[in-house]
Amino acid sequence: MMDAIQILFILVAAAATATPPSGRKVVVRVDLTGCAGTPASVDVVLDGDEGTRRPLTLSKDPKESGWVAEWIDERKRKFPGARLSASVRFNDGRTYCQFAQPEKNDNDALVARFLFYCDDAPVLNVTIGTIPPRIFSYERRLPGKARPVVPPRCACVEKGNAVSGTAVVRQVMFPQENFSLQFLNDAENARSSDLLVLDPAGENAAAEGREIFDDLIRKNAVVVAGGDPRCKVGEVCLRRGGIIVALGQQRARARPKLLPQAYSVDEENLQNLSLLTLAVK
Amino acid sequence: MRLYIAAAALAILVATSAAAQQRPVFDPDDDVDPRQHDAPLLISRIVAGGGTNLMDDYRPLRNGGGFFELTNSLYWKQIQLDYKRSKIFGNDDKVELQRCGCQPPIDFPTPPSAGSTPLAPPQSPKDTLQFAFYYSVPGRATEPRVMLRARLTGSRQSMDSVVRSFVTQEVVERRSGREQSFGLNADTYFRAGRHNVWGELFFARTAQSGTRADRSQTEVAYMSRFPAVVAGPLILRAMLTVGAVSNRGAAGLNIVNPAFEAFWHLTASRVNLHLVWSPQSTRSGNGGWETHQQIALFVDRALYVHLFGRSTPSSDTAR
Repeated sequence: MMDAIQILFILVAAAATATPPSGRKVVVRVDLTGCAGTPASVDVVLDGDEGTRRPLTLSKDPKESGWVAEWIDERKRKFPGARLSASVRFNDGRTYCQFAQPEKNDNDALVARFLFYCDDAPVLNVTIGTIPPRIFSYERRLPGKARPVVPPRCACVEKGNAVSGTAVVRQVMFPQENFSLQFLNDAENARSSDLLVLDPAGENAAAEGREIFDDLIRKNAVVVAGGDPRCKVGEVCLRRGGIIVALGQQRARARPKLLPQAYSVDEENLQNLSLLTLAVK
Repeated sequence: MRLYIAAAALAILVATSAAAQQRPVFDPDDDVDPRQHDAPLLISRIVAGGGTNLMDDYRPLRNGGGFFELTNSLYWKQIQLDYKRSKIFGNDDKVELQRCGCQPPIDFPTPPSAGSTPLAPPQSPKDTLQFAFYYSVPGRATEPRVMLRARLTGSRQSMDSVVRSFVTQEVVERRSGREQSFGLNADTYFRAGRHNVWGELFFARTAQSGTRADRSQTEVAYMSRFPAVVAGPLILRAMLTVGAVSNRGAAGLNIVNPAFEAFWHLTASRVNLHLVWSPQSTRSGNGGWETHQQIALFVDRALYVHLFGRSTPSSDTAR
């Protein structure tokens, strides 16, 4: 009897290990065009998951030029049944987003092939901090059809989370990108409305310091000189009340409704936040 | 989806059996973007203030006065349910009539004729039920999807009448009537070149019963919401409503209502301060165009905010 039970367990375990994983392995292959030389390093952001950038390696296979990486598609609908978008990040720049073309390589493996144009639009790094540390998420939106280009671009939304209360969001294309923050509450069952960080109407890509931030961020920021000892030189800082007011003003500007209920939700979500610090490099 | 349809059908049944009405000037916007909460959200809010030349559903009140509103809103996924109770003070809460000793008897004051703007009903407390559904449409490429709302509203208030003898002042008749209203309003959004155009469509049917001079009216209106402006701590906005209301002897466009609102959120007290100027022009067959300069000053504050559950919110964004 015991032997039969043991055999049954072994069969169940074998069946379990034989079950294919829920993800689908995809070879990501990126070809770059228009670049000034070969980039030192290349990362790819797949399917808008800004939080998990994947480093690409330069293929040494003469039959398969370009930059490659392996990726497990764990989405409900898999590539190529579901479209796959990506953008590429360099040390000092980023690309717009593209959709992948499905291919098979010599090993009959599924390949998601991207062709990116190296854009020389200036980028900046935004450093975000919360006091005390608390979770927030951020979102980057880049339009795709600003002008007809080859290869064609797609609009993309790329998201990331900062669980430790700080994040450096790199290679933000200004002013093309719409960059916003959302604060998650402690119970993680609600979030603030979007806090638009950078000025969407900004025209001067070389602008530095405060000028680069949305005017309602600047308007509600703590005045640095003596405003708050926790706010360092070069930072734009908002106290909790300033964030709530900025959120409400940005909501009203985006959509002309005045929403007391949304203020209340933001007040609940931001209960434990004392100071938000923003800096651009 | 079936659940939504069933809930919508239930709300329609409740609303048609209960009531609905055009929003009073002191009823604040109460949208909450469903992307801000994954779990149900309950908010109770109080509104209090005062105003002059107030209107009730395009009908002038006899006097200005204070008002209050208590709202309870439940937000669950893309659904919003509201129960609101409001009251305007400084006006009669029942109809007081005097009956002459003549034959046939006549009650005074006589009601406005069919071609005139009707009087507002007596300001007894008004109960309102609302059911709203949120849905999103694409916005600009650099902005999140635009969240819009469609809402059914039913409201009801009592309209009691007391008729006294002109000579003896004895009560010779009592009537217990009511006014019920059913309405539908929906946000509108489209893009004109580089500009977003926001608005709201309204339809409402209001009917009285059990009074000596039952009136009813049907109204259709469009409200355009112009871009808000931030001035210091204030948010300023302008709106323009145009529409038509029936049964006052003037067909076609007979409502023109610009409105201007200044809004101030006081962070320390969590109070919102509103100042509204709403010159409402209505046209009737007998009176022609008449303008009532509504001015209201009021505050609102959440009494209770509760987020249920601990699930992860949607990864979409809200603005």
